Amino acid sequence: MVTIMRDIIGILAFLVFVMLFLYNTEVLEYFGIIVPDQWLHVNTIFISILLEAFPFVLLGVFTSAFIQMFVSEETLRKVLPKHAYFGLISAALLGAVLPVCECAIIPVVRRLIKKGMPLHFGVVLMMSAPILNPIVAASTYYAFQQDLSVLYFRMGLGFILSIVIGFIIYRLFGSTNQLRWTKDGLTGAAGIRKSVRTSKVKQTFYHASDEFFDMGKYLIFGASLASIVNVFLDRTMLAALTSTEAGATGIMMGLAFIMSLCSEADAFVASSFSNQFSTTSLLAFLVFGPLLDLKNTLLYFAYFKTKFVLILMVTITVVTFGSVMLVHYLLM
Amino acid sequence: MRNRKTNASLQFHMFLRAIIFLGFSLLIIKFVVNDTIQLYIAPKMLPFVYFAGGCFLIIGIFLLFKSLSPKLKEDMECNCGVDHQMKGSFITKTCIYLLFILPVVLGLGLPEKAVDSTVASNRGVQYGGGLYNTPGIAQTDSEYGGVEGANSVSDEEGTTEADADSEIMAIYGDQLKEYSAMDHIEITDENYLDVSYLINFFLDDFTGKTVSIKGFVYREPDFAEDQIIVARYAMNCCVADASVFGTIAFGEQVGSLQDDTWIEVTGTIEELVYHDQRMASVRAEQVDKIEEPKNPYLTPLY
Repeated sequence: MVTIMRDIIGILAFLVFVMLFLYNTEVLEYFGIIVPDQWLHVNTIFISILLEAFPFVLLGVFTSAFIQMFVSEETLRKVLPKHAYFGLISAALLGAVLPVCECAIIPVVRRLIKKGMPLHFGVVLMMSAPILNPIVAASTYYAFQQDLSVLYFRMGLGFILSIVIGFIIYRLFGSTNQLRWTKDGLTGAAGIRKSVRTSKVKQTFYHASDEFFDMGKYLIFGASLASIVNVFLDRTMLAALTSTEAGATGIMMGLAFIMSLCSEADAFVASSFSNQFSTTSLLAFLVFGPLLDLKNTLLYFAYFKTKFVLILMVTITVVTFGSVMLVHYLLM
Repeated sequence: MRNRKTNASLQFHMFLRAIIFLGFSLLIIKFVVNDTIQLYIAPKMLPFVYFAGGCFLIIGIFLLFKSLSPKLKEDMECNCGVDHQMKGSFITKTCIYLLFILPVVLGLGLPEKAVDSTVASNRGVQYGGGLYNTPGIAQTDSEYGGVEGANSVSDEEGTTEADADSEIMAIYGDQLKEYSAMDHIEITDENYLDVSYLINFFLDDFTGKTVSIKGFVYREPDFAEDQIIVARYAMNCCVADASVFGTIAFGEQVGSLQDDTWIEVTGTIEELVYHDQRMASVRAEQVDKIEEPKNPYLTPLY
């Protein structure tokens, strides 16, 4: 009985999709539903954010599944730097080479940590990859052609902050396990199931699909919140809220958090604020957004233990704010 | 018995996921077939979206076939030791799947609409192709708030502008020569941002020339009756990062135009000071209503 019910649910869902695919808005008109314009805009932005993020999420989950299936723990152990502190720098450099943003790096890092990479290397990688990235550098260059110091400070701070945050996390957590799934669950079962022989390609698909559903729910939820903020928040009023440098920096960091822009496009949004906000606060926007925003906070919570994520969030916020203020008073 | 039950449950989850993956691919296929994908994504991102659409389709079909297999549980056994089933109560699972269905239903079912003037008012219009946003050039912070403080800034404007001048000439020198030789300038989607930047920065070279420009009608709350903005969105990746650019046009003919109407304005370039910013404006001589372009967004070229 239950099985039939389930099949019916699935088939119904599919029929709804096909109906909507064929008849589009006619379905809506049939039921006489009128959606206000503003909510249509929310919808447009919601779909737009998802369409932009999906390819990179897929890349991330496929890479992660690929590592799971084809890279053994032993290989990884051999490749990883042995020294805890020098390793931080090489991890930051590795992040600089990888042309991926936050949607793609988080599943990969989780997989690497599961495979035995020390926690703080993973954190450095997650912090550095979205900022120190050739595409991000290019878009920042074009958005701030008139004032390239923004580009230099963004890249410089991205590099230094990722190492500093990695260092702090190492001092606080050492090499303890902060993933939600235990490492034992991962490696312990290996001995029992050795006999099963299934194709690795097929397994890669299963893993990728599992991981997509695992992180996709946070992505979709985050995108829906971000799209609502995008339509209803009056950006032109923000500047009037504060008159101090610290206040403006705080506001821009908050904005970077809720807008959850991809680091490859946020420079253009930042430059659109530059007639209302100081260069320092824009720098905070550009450095903070890739490290921490609504979308990736939800992903952190999905993958790491709650206490760890909260401490990571506080660390990122304090370190970013402090360093941007330092740059402001010493160098600008 | 228990084994059979978990297998059925696995099959059901895989079936649902297959449907959702196929739903995502249907969504992308529909946008591509109807040519409305440009409403959501900048052209340079398109290859990535095609990649995603292909992946969704392949995974969807793969999972669909696998979900019919009665030996699924054994098939999925791998040495990762991870429970492949979703955790949580019945309600949690339902909510999660509904969340995934949401974008498919909304994307397929709701009318597709490019963002328009209602969003523009919250984002703030940038005049002169972003000229007033470049940090190298002195700013007045009074544009939106109407706060005092413009006087001190306007003194500095002369010096900073001179500093920035040489850099700007390096980038725009050739284009300046090309466009300042013309009597009539046609602003197209391709040259929009560059030309409006040029016209505003080298305003003296362009005053008196005629220009034609396309965009949708938008008004700031403090506008006079015969003033409008001919506005465009520029998008780099997705709509979330789209920003509004605009040129002020004025004249008797524009007063009656509804907001969000797409128009082409032809007229003469004149100097205007709006909120302490010196900028180019267009005295409208001819106004034609046009169709909304297939791709309503500008794409910054670089």
